[in-house]
Amino acid sequence: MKIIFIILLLWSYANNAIADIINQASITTHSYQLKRDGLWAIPAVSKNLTLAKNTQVILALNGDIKGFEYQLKYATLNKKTTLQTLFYIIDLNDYLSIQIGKFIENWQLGYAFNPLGLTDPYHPINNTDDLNEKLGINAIAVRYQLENVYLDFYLSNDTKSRDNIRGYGYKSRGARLNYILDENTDISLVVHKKSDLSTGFGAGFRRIIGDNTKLYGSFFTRHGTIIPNVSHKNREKDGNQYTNIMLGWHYTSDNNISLIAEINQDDRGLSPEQYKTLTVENLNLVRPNGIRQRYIFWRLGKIINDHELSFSRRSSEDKSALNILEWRYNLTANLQLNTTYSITTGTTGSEYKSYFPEQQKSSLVLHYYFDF
Amino acid sequence: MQLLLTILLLLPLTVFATMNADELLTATDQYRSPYRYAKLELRIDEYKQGLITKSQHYTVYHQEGESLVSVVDGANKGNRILLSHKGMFIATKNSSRAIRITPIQRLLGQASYGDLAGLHFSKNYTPSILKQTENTFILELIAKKSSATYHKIILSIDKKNQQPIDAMAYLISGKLYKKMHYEIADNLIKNITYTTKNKHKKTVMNFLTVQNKKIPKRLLSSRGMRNTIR
Repeated sequence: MKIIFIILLLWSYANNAIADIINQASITTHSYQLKRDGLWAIPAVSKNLTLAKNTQVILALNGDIKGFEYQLKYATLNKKTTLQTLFYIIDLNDYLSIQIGKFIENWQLGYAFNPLGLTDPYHPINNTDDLNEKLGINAIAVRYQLENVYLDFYLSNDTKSRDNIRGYGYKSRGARLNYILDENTDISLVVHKKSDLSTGFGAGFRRIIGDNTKLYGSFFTRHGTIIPNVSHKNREKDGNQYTNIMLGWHYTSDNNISLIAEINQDDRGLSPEQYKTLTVENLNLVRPNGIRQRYIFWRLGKIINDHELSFSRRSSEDKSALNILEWRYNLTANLQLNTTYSITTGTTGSEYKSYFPEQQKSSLVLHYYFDF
Repeated sequence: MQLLLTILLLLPLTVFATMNADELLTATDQYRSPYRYAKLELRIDEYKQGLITKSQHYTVYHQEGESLVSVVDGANKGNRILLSHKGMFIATKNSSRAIRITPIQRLLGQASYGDLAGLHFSKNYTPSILKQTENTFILELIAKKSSATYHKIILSIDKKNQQPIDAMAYLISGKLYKKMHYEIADNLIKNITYTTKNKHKKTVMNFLTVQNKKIPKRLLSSRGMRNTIR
């Protein structure tokens, strides 16, 4: 598979006729080094984690062949070619279409927190999938649109190994209604059922205010959750209502300074009392979005010509935080550099100092985009 | 004889004098694209001190007042911008989803997203004739909705053939934000030069090709804008 992939990439670059089936091809080199402290440094734990230092190359292609849209990548880290998406869209008429195959269905509205990310389990921590990590799910979606209304019906069967924490490996079905109130405002209403869990409901909104500001928010609520708690108790049918809610604000100044702030309350996380009972045996509960209930996120960014600098901070309710400094630079029209430094702060025993596997991380990513 | 000559000379003017502001603007729009559903290939050249510092290619699909812009080359290849009746959205190639753009985000950059996506003035602006000179009409265009890129545009058009000559774009605060100058060839806009108060910089939007092309309506939505255009 990978030989065919490389041949296709090189042949396409040399032969413009084949370029019709490739929209974008890129080579990414990713180097990182990270430091683990505390519980994560225990050999019995760290042996199951990713390497502390590594460099990999990722070859990525996306395009369409006779209407079949695809995205695939080859990564040297695991020496594996992954078909991330492969789907087809049938246009029945101007208003009705069907999408079938393996694809990423995204109902999210937030930057860092996404109560409506029900159909898309993986959320990159900085909202950009630089390493092509997002994976499609086998699904069918029927889409209907009128002038101001979009309606999606979604049915999926995720065949990955079941992962309670990251939300993979489930059948799900849902519907989303997106209504455009005016040119500045839209609202979403969502209903979703996941495997044996009860049906849940949610809603969201986005509103442009004035010239510089966006306000947005969403929530989702359901009886039961697939996420276990510290006693490994199955909470799928415990009769409790779990609500995940987010409110966000995004301001862009006249000279392109961007400020994002979000607040999140997720009932599925550990309460302060439950958090106190957390031990090394529970490290498998650690989720990418955090293990507690309340978080604040903010991000300050500035674009200056071909440079983008940003600083973001995700804080837990115990005041510990994950801090990320990032610099993106377009070296040439086709070559982009992305360097990131992240560090956790907080007191001993706090969430990000004790229960986040990457205490310090330096990362360098170089992307080269081929022109076809 | 002299009277007859005078009448014959004045006749064309009476024809134009009967064209109202809406008709003038619609006639001017034809120089952007003669098609109801259009696909345009554009190249944006950024100049500093008279030299090109950066070039980028775009493909723009216009239909029924809505536009989908696709970045064709460079580091931003794969980015899409949608200007629809429901607002403006951007979907960057590696991001999770399309996001709404605020009015100020539409303006950022020498040639802004709004400049790329906006095609026919008549769809987004209400015109009135401000004044006329011997050879030109000066139209005042006021945005119909807040989703228009600029609040007001003062547009000069040729009296004889309604070709656009130049324009000045204003924000809602009344601030002059950009000037545009049009170059026409073969009855179509060949390029638009954008200048701001920074005299050392300018941006030229070159119209390379224009063709008749209709795309599925689902692509002109925030959820469908990232799909392949076929």
